[in-house]
Amino acid sequence: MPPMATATSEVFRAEQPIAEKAPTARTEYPGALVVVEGIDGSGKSTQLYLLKRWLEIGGYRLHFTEWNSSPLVKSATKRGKQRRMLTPTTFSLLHAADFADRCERQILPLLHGGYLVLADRYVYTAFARDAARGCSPHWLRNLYSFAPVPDITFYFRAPLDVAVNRIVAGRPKLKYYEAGMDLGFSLDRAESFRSFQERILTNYDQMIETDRFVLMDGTVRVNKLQKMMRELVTERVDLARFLPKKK
Amino acid sequence: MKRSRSSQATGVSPNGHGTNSAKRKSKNGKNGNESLAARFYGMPLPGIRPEELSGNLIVVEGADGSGRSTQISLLTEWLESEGFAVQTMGLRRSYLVGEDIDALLAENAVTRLTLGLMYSTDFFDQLERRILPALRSGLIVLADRYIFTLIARAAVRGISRDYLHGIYEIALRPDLTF
Repeated sequence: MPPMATATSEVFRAEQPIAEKAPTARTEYPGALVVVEGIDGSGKSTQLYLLKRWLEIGGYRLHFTEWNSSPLVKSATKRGKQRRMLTPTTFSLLHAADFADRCERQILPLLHGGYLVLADRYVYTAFARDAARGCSPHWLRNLYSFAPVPDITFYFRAPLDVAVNRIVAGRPKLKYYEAGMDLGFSLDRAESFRSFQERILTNYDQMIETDRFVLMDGTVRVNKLQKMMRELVTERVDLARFLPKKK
Repeated sequence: MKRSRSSQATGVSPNGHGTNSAKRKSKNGKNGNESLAARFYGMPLPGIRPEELSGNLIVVEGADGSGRSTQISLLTEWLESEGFAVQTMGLRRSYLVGEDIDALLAENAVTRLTLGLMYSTDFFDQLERRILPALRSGLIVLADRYIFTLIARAAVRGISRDYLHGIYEIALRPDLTF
């Protein structure tokens, strides 16, 4: 073999799989990061919205960020989804690029600038969903290893039927990837969606302890659940830090 | 060119059968296992059966102006004249994000990490939707740059090598790298 070919063994010095990485240590910054996770229809977005309104009215310095929302990769994601040309790997990488963009240009600078950052879905969405599509959990953990660990991760959990019915009843047509049609569970979108969500739910459940999720019962009445959420945030985050300084 | 020809002759078996070339590879590489370990660096891409890949992947790496493109076109011509079908891949050539990367580079409004991940999207889109089907059909794939360039460039931009290896470890191992 020509000498250049040794590049193979040199670049991949470690022939064995790379050791599982510990989650990124929480770097020192004055901000705080609160995220919500859960399957579609678990009530997480409603709850985060109510939390955000409460904090906004209270005058706290905050920033809200949403999964898959960076303008940079939007056109590519849209193109890929429309033409159904995303594989589990490229689907995952595009979302990681989106997250990296938001992380480096919004989340991290704002955490360093002393903001309370609220995130609707975070890296755990990728861990649960992309693994349901067949990506290796080990590969996914590495892919998102640059993400700061949240101060609180609320995991909204509703029984599969409750969550699925909320979505299916409210949406005339589920989108192709949303329904997990690329996995080939079923030709029926609602059925496919259910199987897909079931897998995601299982994956989320497995992270409850390892990733210190705060379990929230998505079947509890909205206002009661919101009260619990506010209490937990008050307890765990020093909210006074996020109020404008008095002159 | 002379060396590439002789290497070519050993790298590509006449019937283009994958397991043969994997066995050949094991003579040079450390991996004796001819299935997964031989064709992938780590865990393979989701949903891929390595035994189906009967074609061969030849990678040409090198700096700009090192003569890569010339060699690739000569090699293509030679292979085609010998009756081998050839497919090519390169950087920023994916249908999915190739143009987006060009636009991002022109605007210069993107972080290194995001750009690096766009390059890996570009790479895997080509690999999964163009290269693997070609290899399944027994074609010879010539890659004008591969993960070695992608890793080296991103590492120069400050992205950790461990992180990059973690991303690209699911890529297909070339049968031959120049």
